[in-house]
Amino acid sequence: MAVEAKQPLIDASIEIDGVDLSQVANEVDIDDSASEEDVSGFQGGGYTEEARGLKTAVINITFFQDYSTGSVHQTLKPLYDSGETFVVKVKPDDAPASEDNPQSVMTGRLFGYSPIKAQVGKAQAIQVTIRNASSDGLTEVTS
Amino acid sequence: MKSYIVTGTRKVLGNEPGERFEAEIDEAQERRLLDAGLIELDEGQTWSPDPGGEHEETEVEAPESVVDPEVPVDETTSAEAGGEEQE
Repeated sequence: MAVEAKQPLIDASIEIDGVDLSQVANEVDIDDSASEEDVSGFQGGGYTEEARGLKTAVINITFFQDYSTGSVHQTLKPLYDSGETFVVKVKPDDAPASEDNPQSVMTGRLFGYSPIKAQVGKAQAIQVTIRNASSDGLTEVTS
Repeated sequence: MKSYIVTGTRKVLGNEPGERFEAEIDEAQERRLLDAGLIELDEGQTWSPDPGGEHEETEVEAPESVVDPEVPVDETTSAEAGGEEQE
């Protein structure tokens, strides 16, 4: 079923390098932005003039650390160690991508990874930042 | 295009655990997924979407109606295999 209007995010789908890690993640945000370049000249009426520079995209995901086969650690550690690029896919719902369930796709790379992070007795949640690593940038798939 | 089986407990490339699928996976990603034990190569491909393509063929048992040219034809059997009897 596709996402309805004003639904809380419950069944989001998160795929990292082909592996579905939705059930071990509890927070995701995708940021696509362009740098602001000041192109103000003299006699500009007293205002700055901003132009858009290069764009970048970042996907932040919070995972509950899991060292079992094919889970968080075993998926992310090799990606960080090798520095290789990989594909990230995020959808608001587990249903197939559609106009009302758009899938964000990005080829990214990890620049940091925390294999362990928690206080005593607390759930071990790690935040992973994936940065764009392709000229394709962040794309949206609706079919 | 290669054939794989999802061997782990997580969905891989949208395929459920235990599911067989065909995909073109880039070399690095294939190695990572194989190393992690999430997929295995499916050596015995049994189905091809393109009969004229270059897919591996699997031996298929001949249907009972096929008559072996080396064996003398038994008219009774032949009539049964042919379906409708002519009057």
